[in-house]
Amino acid sequence: MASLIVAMVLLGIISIMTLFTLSYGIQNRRALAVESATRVVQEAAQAGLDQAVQFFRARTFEIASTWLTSAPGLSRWERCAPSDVSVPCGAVAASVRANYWRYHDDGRADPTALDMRDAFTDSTGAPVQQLVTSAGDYRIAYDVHALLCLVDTDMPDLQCRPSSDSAAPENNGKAAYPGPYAITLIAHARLSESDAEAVKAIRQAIVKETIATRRTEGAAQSRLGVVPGSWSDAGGIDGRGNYAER
Amino acid sequence: MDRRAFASPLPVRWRGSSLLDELTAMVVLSIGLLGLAGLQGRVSSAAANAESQTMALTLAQSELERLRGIADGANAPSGYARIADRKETIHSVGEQHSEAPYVLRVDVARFALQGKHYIPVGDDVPVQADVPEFKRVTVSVAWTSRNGMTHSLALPGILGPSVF
Repeated sequence: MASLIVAMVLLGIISIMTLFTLSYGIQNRRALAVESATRVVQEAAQAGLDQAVQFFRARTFEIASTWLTSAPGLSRWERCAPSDVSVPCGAVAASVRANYWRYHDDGRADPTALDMRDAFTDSTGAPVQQLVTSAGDYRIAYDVHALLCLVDTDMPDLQCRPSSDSAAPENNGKAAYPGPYAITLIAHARLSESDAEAVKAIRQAIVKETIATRRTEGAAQSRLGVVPGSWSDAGGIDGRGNYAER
Repeated sequence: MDRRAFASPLPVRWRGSSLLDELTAMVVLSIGLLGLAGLQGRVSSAAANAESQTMALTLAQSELERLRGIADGANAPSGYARIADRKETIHSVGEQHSEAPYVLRVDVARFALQGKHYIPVGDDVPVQADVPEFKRVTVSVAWTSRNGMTHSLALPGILGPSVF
């Protein structure tokens, strides 16, 4: 009887020690899984930004012309309201917010998310909104929002033209804005597990980057390229769709 | 039969434990220890898998960054043109040597703008500076865990030639 009691006590002590080791192992594993998902969702958001860059490169002739008109069905840009803190207008300081234009398409469920279906197709030729939909075992969903800045080259610090500017599209009476412009892109990516029956985002990431027109030597027309140093992952979107930076 | 014939001549408190007690204790202890060892083994194998996955992810991310550097770097146009399908077996990541090798694969699909749409193009078509184009890249890493199961992960990327 005494041996049995000693054996049970020993077993109890070893079990407690093992459980502590197990809980450490499980926590460690969970931390690695979270880190892994964070890195994947960051890459997904980057893929969203990169796809948006290609989207705007394909729409160079419309960005500062057709899309700036007020014609129904053609207009894609509208001025940000100074008090609008939602994505994408909330990504710029309130003092200059009204000088920016947000991408806006009334015909869409999420009117401020870029409609990239008319530029990208899958292997069968069918239009696709996302070029990247999965990463290993994860499902990826992203949308990209954009802010247009019609750059005022007369200003020493290159500000965006306000609506009061005589050269602003509202006042110049021309079909196209001839000057340089910059577009700030905000990509919001969500990750979910691919075997989940109901898609529930397990991780999300928001990254921001600016592209601008630039005419390179010998080139016939200006091209859109990423502005060095403009990339940031400091932003966040709350439950009400408002943008804030840490 | 007289039961007293088999009774121990020693007083009860000096008799110690019977063989049956000892055996029962050993069996209970052995079953418990075996169970715990199995559990420990499973957890340590899961931890090793998680570590392998982190290593594989690091590999895939570094490869994607390397390709981004090639597309955006000083020799951007020629570097971008060189981004193509490839497969490599890797035995160590940084200073860490892995038990089983990782198989890194890069799958590239090239698209160029035609009219208003991007369409797939082959590598034989030269890169034209005035035609927007990009490459959709999938970097996947596969490895075999200690228990012989094959795992893999993939990272996507969209790479365009730098214009600045």
